Amino acid sequence: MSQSSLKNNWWNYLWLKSESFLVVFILLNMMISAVTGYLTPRLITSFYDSLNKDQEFKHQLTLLVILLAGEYLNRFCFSLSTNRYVQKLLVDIRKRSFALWLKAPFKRKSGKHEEYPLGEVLARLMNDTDAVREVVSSGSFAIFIDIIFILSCLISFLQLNSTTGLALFIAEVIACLLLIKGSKAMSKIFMDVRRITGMMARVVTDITSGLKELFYSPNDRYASKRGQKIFEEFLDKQLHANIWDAGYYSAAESLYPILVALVMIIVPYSQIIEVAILAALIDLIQKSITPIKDVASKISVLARAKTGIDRLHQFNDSFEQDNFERVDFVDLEAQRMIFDLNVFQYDQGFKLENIKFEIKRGEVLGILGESGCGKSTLLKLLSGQYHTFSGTITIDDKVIHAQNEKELRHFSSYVSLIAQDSHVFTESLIFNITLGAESGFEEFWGLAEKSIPYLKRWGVGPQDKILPKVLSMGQKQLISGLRALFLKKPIILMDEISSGLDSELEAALRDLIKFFQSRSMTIIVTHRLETILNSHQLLLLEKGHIIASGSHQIMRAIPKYQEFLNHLH
Amino acid sequence: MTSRLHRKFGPWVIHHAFEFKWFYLGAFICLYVLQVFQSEIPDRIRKLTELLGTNGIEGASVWIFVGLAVGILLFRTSSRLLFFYPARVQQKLLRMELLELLEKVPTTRYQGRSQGQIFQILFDDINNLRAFIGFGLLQVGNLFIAAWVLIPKLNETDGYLWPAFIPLFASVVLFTITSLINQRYFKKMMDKKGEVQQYIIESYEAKQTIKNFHREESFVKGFVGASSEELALFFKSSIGFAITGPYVKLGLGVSLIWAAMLIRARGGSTSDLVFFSGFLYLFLEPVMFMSWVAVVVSQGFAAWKRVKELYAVLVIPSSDENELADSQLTFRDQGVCFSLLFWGEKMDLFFKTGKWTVLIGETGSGKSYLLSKLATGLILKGHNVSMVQQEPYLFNDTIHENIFLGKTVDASGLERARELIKMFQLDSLAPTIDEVLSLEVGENGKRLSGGQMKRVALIRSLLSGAKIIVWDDPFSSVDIILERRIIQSMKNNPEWKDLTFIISSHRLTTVKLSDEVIFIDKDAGIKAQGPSEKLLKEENVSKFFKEQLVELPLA
Repeated sequence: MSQSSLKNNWWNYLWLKSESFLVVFILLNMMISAVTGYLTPRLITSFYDSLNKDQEFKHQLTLLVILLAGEYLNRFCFSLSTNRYVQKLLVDIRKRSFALWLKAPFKRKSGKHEEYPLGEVLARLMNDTDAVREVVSSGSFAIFIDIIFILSCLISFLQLNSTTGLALFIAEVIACLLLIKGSKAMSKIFMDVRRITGMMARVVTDITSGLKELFYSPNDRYASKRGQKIFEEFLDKQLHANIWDAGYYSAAESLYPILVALVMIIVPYSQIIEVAILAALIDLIQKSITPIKDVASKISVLARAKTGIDRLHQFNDSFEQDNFERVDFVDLEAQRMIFDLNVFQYDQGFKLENIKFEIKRGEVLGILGESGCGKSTLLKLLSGQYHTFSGTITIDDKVIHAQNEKELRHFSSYVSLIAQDSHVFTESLIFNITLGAESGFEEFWGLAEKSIPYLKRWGVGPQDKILPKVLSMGQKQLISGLRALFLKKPIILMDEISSGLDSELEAALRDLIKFFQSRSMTIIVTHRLETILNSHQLLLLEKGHIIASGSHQIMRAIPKYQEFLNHLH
Repeated sequence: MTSRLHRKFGPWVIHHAFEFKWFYLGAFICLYVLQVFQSEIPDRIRKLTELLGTNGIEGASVWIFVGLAVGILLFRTSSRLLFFYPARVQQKLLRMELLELLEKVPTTRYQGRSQGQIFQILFDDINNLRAFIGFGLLQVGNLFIAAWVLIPKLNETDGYLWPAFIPLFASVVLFTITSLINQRYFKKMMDKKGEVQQYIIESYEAKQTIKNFHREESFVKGFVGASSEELALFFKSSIGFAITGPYVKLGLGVSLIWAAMLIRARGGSTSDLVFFSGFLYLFLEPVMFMSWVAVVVSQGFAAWKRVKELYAVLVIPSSDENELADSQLTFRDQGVCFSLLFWGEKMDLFFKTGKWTVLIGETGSGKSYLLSKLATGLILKGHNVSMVQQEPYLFNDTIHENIFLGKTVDASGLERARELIKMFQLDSLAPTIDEVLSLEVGENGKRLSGGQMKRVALIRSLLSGAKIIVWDDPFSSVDIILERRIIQSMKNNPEWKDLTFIISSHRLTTVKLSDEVIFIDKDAGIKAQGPSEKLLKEENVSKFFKEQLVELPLA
């Protein structure tokens, strides 16, 4: 990620086309502020000057009141419109990041480690956008209008007394630059804090998810120990940041006496003789101290927002750079697939070799094997989750090279996987099946009820809310199967029909498979022979190799297959 | 460890203050010195302007101001650090206490709360409490000391100027009220935020487990809906500040004008007005922070309420627990008889010590429910039980840690773990067994298959030192050959043969390998109970298994 592309991207994040009217309005507020700023030192000088003059004082007083009221109104409009803008902006940024993340395939660092686990996704989408939001809730946007105001004041004062005006101007600019430099150094420290906060979020997510497990497994304060470790690390980093924080703000606070000292050095050389001008100068210092101090505190808010946006950018960028193509799922048709794997290996660990088979539409292929034979790995390869194996997949006449990520992703859109852990939402059944795109559901449901009589007896209608906690594994599989069917995928992978089924559900899942079979290629991976006895073709997998294949009749002669057969009784 | 969470809000704050009393004493001394330094400035500026009117200011000393600047830098920094440190430590202590409590109590006590809610309390709410004691107390102290130092100082010379402070104070009061009113948005916003987080959590699960689902748009739509609602509340809450925020600047201006009129009436000079404006400026900081303090205090209070709500649930036994506490546990015939309520009916379950008892019954008959009830009951009655649920959770940690869960392991324990990994065929995960042990399993065991995760959990339970092992459908993802190997070696190995195993299953093979069977039914309760050899001959049991294995085309 080069610096310049990051800068270009800043615009990408902060500029919202649809709200350009607001931006114009905000700029107008800033211009008005410049005018009031220019008038302020003059009016203050005249006001101080007229303190002991009768008529003049009333006149100056009126002018000052008008100026104050005008500035008030202007600031009110400014903060309202910036807040509105940030609100719209955040909706947009969150939407963009969420959509990018959701649509992209899972990212794995060095092929294995998940780059963005749940806690990290939460930290990016929530905490990092919160950092931007904090700019508003802390009123930090006002710093821009404040700076414009003070600059105009200084320019105006330059005309009143150039020597002191210039000296003050230079001193304040230097002070600002020093503070900004300091804040840059601090942004690194804040990044550290944010990073550890993200890590802490991950650990807390992990241990709170596993609390039930811990209650049922005798253990030695596992959660507390892990919590303690990360909390202590966090404390450490945070305290370190606090030292910088506190010193930084205090340095800004000590500016007031320093600037007054400066004035004392300069004034003798500046031909100031009227007390009113000195008073206006002191007033200007007081007015500018708050914004300069604010530069300190608000730049750190802006710095936090900046690191937030940088992190979001990095997050989005990692998906955008992938530049993956998605195929629309509708009307994908395929009649035949040839899967031909030469070799796949986890970093020097388990290995799959020479797996080749062909399947046609309307057929069922059963893959049988003991635990650890490589079934789960094969499923992952078949659903296009790893592009690190050598081999090809041929769909109809199109050859897909497995090591080409783009081609493999294209392939993966042909496939639907009914996994044992497919997520079931706490939503209506219809949402769980259609995932929100309901057109064509009624027709589908009619057909499904006809093909799977269990659905009628089940007593759960399309509009009924599903409570995943009370569903059995089989029911979950049924729902995710219906989901795959509704999506009309040409290739359906089914992982291990759960063994915990009663006869009714078992029958329902068999009906489901028949339902698939008529319109797709069905591949079932299992260690239970009874699930796949009726398949057109069986593969027997052992230690990552196919040791036999063929129909049930042919396979009966294989000793290993007989072992599975014997266990059926 | 001292408990903090049992206290009410006020006593908790007081307890905290005493716990770190030396820090706070130092902090208050620093604040006092700081205010004394700052209060020197207005008067010295007045003298400056007076000098200009008479002799010119060459005679005034620059160094006093430089000295003041250094003093401010020093004492301000120290006072902040002395306030922040105890707050940060307190934050850690609160998190630890809550976490330890969560870990200790039965999960039934907080069943009604989603993981997202618990996360929010542990993470966000305790952070708000930290902000309250770190920032809130600092600013309250600062205001108190500023008043203590500044008020007598002004009274000394220019007491008649007090009314001119009214506009400033009024504007700050208004600002504070607005901040407090905005709190209702804050609460709503936090709730909405929880919803948005839950949405992300569910989407993550979906993305992870529903491959190639191509319905992202509807999820994006849902997410944008929830997130827009949250952000709309956020905008509404900012309207009040937009009105009253700049009001403080206005108040400052009006105060100055008022003072000018008072000084005029007294026949005072421009220098007096300069002095007043310097004083006004000194008051600004502590007074302005008052409004933030109000926000932080009310947020802290709300956070404490939420933490306490959870705490209250955690320390009181749930109704399920009470019911289990009433259930009876009797020892007879080399076994345990556990009487508990099942679907509203009393049920007597009998387990022989050192034997394998298998629970069978149709899906939906409540085997999982019964097993977790049983395990919970036994744990509550002080037995050393380990249970593996149907879908166990693995922590984002190494396999070693997932097996031993924080326990220190000796060489023989490690050796047994190695043996079990081999026996459960997890050795194929990496080239060597030690590498298997140090393998990171990823979030929720994602890098393992469902079956592998389960087997890790089974190993964990065997090495947990528990005397009673409860396994819910342990072999569903293990093939029949391995299942037999496991059960037989458990029965023969001196290490495990004395353990009492209570498992559930749907397989005939498991029943054949077990010693005792309990056949349960949702309506009829216990349909049959006894030695498996005997029961398998009974008609209703064998009928059950015939129904389970439907459509076997083999003759």
